[in-house]
Amino acid sequence: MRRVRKRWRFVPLMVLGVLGSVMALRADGTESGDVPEAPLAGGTLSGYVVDIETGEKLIGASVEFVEHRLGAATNVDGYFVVKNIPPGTQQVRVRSLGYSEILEEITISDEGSQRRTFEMTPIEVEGDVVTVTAERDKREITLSKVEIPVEQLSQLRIGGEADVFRALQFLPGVLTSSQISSGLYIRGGSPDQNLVLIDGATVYNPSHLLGFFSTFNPDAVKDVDLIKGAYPAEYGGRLSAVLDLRQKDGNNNEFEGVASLGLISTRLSLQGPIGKGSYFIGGRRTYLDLITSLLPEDPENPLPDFYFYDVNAKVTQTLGENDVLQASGFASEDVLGLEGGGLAFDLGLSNYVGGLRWTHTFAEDLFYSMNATYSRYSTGFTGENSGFFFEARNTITDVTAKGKLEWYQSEDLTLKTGLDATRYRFNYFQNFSGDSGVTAQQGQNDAGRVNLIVDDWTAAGYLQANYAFSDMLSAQTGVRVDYFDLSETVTVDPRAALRWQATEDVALKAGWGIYHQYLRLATQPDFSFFDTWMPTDSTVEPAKAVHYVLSAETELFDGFDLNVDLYYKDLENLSELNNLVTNADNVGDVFYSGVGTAYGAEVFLQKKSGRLVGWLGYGLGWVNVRFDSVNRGQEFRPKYDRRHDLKVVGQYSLNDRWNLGASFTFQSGQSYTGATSRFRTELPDAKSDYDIIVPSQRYGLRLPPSHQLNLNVNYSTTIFGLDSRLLLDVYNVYSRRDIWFRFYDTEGETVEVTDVRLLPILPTIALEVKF
Amino acid sequence: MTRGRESMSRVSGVVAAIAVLAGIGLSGCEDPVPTDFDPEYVFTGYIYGGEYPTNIRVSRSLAPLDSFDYGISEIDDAVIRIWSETDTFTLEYVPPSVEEGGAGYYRATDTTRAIRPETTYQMRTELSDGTVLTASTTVPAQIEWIRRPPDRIQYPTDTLTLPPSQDTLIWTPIEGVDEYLIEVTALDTLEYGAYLEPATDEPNRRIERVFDVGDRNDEDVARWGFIQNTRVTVVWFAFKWFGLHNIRIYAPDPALLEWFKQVRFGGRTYNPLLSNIDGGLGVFGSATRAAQVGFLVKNQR
Repeated sequence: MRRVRKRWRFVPLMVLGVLGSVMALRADGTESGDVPEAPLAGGTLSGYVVDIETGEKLIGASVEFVEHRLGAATNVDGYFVVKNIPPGTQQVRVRSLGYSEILEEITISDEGSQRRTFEMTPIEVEGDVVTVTAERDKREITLSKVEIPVEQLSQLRIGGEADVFRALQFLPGVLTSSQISSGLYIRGGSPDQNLVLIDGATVYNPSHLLGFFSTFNPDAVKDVDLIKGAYPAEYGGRLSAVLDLRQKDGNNNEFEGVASLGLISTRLSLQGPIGKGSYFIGGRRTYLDLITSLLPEDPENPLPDFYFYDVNAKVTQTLGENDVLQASGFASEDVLGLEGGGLAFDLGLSNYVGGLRWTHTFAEDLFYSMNATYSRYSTGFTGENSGFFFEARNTITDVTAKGKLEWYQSEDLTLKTGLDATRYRFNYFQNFSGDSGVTAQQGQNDAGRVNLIVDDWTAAGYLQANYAFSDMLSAQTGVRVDYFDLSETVTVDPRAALRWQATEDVALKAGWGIYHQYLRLATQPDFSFFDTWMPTDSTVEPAKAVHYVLSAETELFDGFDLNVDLYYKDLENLSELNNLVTNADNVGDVFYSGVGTAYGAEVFLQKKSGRLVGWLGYGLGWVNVRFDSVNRGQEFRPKYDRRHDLKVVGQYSLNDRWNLGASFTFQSGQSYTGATSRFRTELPDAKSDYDIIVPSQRYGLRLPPSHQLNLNVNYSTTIFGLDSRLLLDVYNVYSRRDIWFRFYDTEGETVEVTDVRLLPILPTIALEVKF
Repeated sequence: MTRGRESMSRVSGVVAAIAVLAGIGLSGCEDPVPTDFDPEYVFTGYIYGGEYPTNIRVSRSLAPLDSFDYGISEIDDAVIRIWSETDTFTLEYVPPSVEEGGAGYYRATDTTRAIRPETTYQMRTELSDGTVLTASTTVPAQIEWIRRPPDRIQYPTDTLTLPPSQDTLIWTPIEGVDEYLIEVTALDTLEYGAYLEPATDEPNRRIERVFDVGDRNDEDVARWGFIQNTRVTVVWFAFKWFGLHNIRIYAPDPALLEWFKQVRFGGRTYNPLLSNIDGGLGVFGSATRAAQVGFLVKNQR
């Protein structure tokens, strides 16, 4: 990484970086004896794979020419292309998890091209066990990528609420700060180190207030990809992991809807055809506030008002044979209000995300996508204490344009290149002056009034190539160059992955990459309360990580995929919030800066199809960090470091009416800080004394292990002729009340070690009706 | 059959491996609460412009979970010296009163001389085992009221949604100070009517609030505020009792301000970055302050 003083220097650097990568790859394949010969002439088959019932495009479906070991997987837009197909009548096989296989003959003409849309029929698991042949994609090079069918994710309910993040927490190596937090700590990375995308737009706060639920309604999600490390060059800006979600396009063929009534929230989604495409709109809202408003007011014990909602919407239009235009949006809002005793307090947070996506097929082997997205996250509070008014809010606004070109040059070589540009606006507004009528001027920072607006932009370019040296060995290499305007910094992130098909059943992978993160999040690990995103200014360096991953994949036996990953991460310029700073002049004042390492191993045994689906995962991990200004400069493990992490998830389809599910987790306890002694001190004039604990090694102790069993039962029936499901859930079946956090209570006459415990057993019921 | 046996064998292997790993986890995951103890010396001292040094305490920290015993914690034989370029204070120990108990403190032997605003003072404390604690502080310029609190402040009658106060306090801005402290202290928690005209025998009482949790520090007769401004409205929440109060504004130096954050916002866990004592824990801070006595009239509900 280096700094440049002039903005224009960025352009040649980026171009050089991309060109360098191209040269390093020797993409023309003509200069190396290791590279296969130039592609043979032949026909080309391209097109889409869709669900026959809804017209929804299927991601990751494989299209194979059985006799020639030729094939391709559909991209995120459901598009595929297979080139150099020998002329003649060929048998093509199309497969996708959860769908009946298509096997048909297609006549390929020499050097001709065909466009096809394959319509796949979903499999209903009824009667006899149905085993869907979902062969592992032998072209997939990306490491540590987890694909869980959305249908399975939506079965993982906590407190009756299905939640994408909750489900992902049941994967090995994915941890949380507690069972009631939805922030994802992935391989030692904190939630702010995860790139969360929905339809290509960045989501800056994927949690509802206090982190109990994520903002993603599973009804609206079509596909979830989680890459836990060593992710490719097309993704950037975060240190740890990528969570790439895509919303449902909607049903192209007919109108349908789902309504669900639960104890915590109500959900409704509608979808159907519109114009030359489809639409989807769905939302959910909690109603605690509506219930409490019906209760009589008790001035001595005021009840808080709280609600959240989220709404997802998407419209897809097909404009001719080669163009698809999508408009999608996502909004969420949380409001918490409390009033009594002369104090009124309102807390809120919101996400508004919108985007346009245009895909264009220039030629059957040249696929282009363009995203223009807007994302705004804001959180804040207002309060009034008998006339003393106070207010604070912070906002990050992101306007991004992304262009990506995918070139399926041959069966052996696929190139992706793209340019991203983002315009950021960071706004921190504070009025602690006590006067509600006073507004802070832009740039003001005095007398309790702050209105800081920082405009910034970043740009990135990348080139990524997937190359098959042979049937056994393939590689994915790439380079990403980022420019950060505010700090005038350029970062160059090379990344590489190798895949070696060691035997017919076993693939070995290795990945390496450099990652930089420009944004920092000021947050508390236990509560998502006033999370504030900040840019990297000249007082701090962008955070940096180097990932090393080794992976082995095999089909242990029919239908059971086994994945073993080893990982190591070097971390630099990490951020630790300085909790007690009240008057910061720059980003360096707000955070301590440090270094760290994370390493471990993960075992993931997964069964994706059949009556019984689910997985068993185990993670063993270590995280260590060191900050000069924290823990007296000594290394420590963060609070979320958990040594062992065992997860078991199963869903069993008993018959066409009953579906049973269970999930179990066992984890090492969280870390906490002990004490070496305590003393008493006073504020001026010694009106009272306060006990202060002198801490021992920061997070040097570990709480008891955490474990939990959840059960769920789904009963499918009809109500007034409508397909319906009754959902019964039991959260924390044996009522294990794990410790949320442990602290030294200094409020009484004697200091006591106090445990704050999590929820006991919680049965819930919900009704879901389709129409 | 052979393939089936192989599959089962593989499954058994995986299950066994996971069982072993889970066993490791079950056996090695928890640390008990520690009971060992590592004592350290603590200096707590604030000096104020225009006042002589007093209420300075030197102590040793105790085991975390033992009952607190001032007799063990307190150090009464420290040699403390506070000096500037032009002045030196030596301090003497004042033991606690027999009736009240608690902690003793150190004060200047000469109470006729005062700390000067806008002056840097050094502190050196020598303990009997040879340990030396040192620190320095620069006293801010003298703060003054521009608009004082009124003599009588009427508490509103509505206890749920209290209306705003019309009284605003204003003080002089002090160069180098962005954050001020305000202290509202009940001067008499027992008598109320005695201060009325004509006097009555009406007793004083606490103001009951939803958010007061009733812990040990809630009995503190002072309430503190932290203000990034040179003006503030009278906030009803600042009063814990009715009746006679001392309202005092502080212009703190960074050391006092940081220690205030340590005590009030620091989660009661010591943060060495908020201490300015070399050789031990604690604070040697300074401030200038301005006070005004006012009377909070009950809402008479």
